[in-house]
Amino acid sequence: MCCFVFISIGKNDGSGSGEGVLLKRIAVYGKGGIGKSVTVSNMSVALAQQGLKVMQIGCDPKADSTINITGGDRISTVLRTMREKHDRVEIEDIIIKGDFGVYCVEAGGPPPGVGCAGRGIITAFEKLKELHVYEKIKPDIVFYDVLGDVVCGGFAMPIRKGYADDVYVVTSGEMMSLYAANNIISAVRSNIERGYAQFRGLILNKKNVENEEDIVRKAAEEMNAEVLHVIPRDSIVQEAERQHKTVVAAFPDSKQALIYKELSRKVFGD
Amino acid sequence: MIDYIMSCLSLLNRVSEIESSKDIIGRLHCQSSGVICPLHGVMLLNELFEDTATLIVGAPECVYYPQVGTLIRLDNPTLSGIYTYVMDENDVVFGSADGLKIAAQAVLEDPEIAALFLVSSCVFELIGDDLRAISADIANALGKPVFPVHTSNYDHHCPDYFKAIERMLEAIAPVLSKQETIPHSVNLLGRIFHGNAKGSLRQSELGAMLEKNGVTINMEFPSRVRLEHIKQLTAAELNIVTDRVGIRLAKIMQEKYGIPYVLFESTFSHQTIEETYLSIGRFLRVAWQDEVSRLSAHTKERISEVSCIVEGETIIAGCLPPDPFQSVAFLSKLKMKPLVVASACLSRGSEEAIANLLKAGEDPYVIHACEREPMEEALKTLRPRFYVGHAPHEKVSALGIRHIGCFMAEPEHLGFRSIDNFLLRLESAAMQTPAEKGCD
Repeated sequence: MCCFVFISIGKNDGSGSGEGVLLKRIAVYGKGGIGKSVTVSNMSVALAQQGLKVMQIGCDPKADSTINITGGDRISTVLRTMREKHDRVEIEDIIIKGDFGVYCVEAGGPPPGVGCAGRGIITAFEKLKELHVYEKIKPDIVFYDVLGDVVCGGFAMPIRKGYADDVYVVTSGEMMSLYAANNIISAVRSNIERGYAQFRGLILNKKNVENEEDIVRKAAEEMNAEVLHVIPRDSIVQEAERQHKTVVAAFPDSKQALIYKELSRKVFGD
Repeated sequence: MIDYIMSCLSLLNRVSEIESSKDIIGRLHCQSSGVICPLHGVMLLNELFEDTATLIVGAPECVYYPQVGTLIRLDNPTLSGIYTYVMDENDVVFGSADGLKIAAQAVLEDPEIAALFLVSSCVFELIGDDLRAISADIANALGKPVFPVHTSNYDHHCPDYFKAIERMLEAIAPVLSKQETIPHSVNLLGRIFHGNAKGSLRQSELGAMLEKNGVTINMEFPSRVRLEHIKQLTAAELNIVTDRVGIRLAKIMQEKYGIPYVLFESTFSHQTIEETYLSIGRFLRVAWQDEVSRLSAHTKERISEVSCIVEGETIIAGCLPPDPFQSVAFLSKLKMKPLVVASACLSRGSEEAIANLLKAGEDPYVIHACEREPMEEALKTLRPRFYVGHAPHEKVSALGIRHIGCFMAEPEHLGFRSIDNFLLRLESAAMQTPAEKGCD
């Protein structure tokens, strides 16, 4: 199902509302390894299957957010392309259409231990703006899949005015994951008056911790947050990954796919 | 205008309120990018090495200063040896290692260049680029020494250019190797760079005393030198550190080559000078006690004489060296009335000097040395009789203030003679008054 082709700007490819109205911009944060990219990719494909024009922007130097939408292929990151092509970067160089027409972008970043990944996110976002990516593609929904904790200003970029409107945090019942969630929520809430994005809820991606749901609901209460959705642990996720696909694409009728679809409806609205 | 100035002064701390360098506040937190910037020190020291080059990496605005400063300072700037690598956006995001390797290769291709100082600046340090690793990689690839020098506003407590000089001297230590010791020999490590100070430490009282007593001055460092000759530093029996910029290198030489060091910096303490001379004499087996005592007694006598002339006179002071608090404490010992002291930070000896000042009943304002405007306003408002520090001479004189230049701003200002020299200038300025003061 992967249509791994360069996009053609300006042509109606038949997907999406085509209205040119960006309906939702959503940032998804959470501790590293918690399942953000899997969750976001499944939501992206689920919404694209409904005919929406979806863009997913990975904001992690590892540049693997969209890998299960592109059939396992690594796409050229914004920063790598900028480095190679300098001022000659075109939209086609950095945006790839994946499964069900999801527009895939990876901001990219430096190798571990070198340079400034936070500055990289800012630079990549500036390039997307400079190329008028949102105006030209006119997505109905943009997902920002952001690395771990908000470690510096660069990683807060997606929640600043002009980018995401809503923020969701993926967590499990593990303490470190909840700790990270609390930090992210605090960062978002403390900047709300500046026009930053609004925190909308926690997404529990279960790791089979004992009493996990209770733990997370209690923590959510303390954080004055809502647990928007619970994603059970299921080996079907790993099975789909082995095929370099999302669960929604690989096993569309599975229970897990329905759970992701339900989550995407909650996030996007009916 | 006066209201404004007075309110400006009222914002300042007085000496009694200074507990750490952070208490030395200015009206502004921004600082001159000129002589305060560590890259200024890099530029100055680079000029002394004949066959090394310096590659400074940073934002365009940062590397502009040493590059253009060099163009202005030298008759033939193409031979300056200063190269700059401007970090672009890719360097900031991905690190500058790749670009620096290419730049360093281009510089080191010149067979006349024996080694490279690779100097960082703020942006490079903020993104955490690994200067040491990059330097080692370049050195391995190109077969010439590459000395990493970290300079950044954020990694030390006293932003000034001495730090960069100190670090450059320390960075060069790996080229040293043990040489045969020259008996009865010393190195003079560190020198004054203030106000484009020229001259040689050999011309100082210390230099003259050493030579007169048969001590060989193995090297004066830093001074104009080629890389291969720097190795010769380890032939000395003793390092005499004549300015704080030489301390780190002296410590390395002590640890690695067993060469002890003694501090002999500019100071207004004739007791300290006397003790240090005697300490050097004991180590080098030089019997100069009598001469040292005679010089010390003469200085002590001069202090007493000049004190009678300047007693009760007001003064504003602030320049290096010595430590400004120590200098102002000395002025109070002369029974002068210090109104303002300018300093960038506390240094070794500041604490004792502050205690002495307060003990003498003096509590002057403290102005941050990096700010020019408050000092100008203080001079206009407080109208002291004397001013010691950097400022256009005509401007100071126009206010009716006697400008005495700096305390000890030449390399040869070491030893008792440096105190005598200042006293002579102070005395001379004081005696210009219509009603000359004198001692009974």
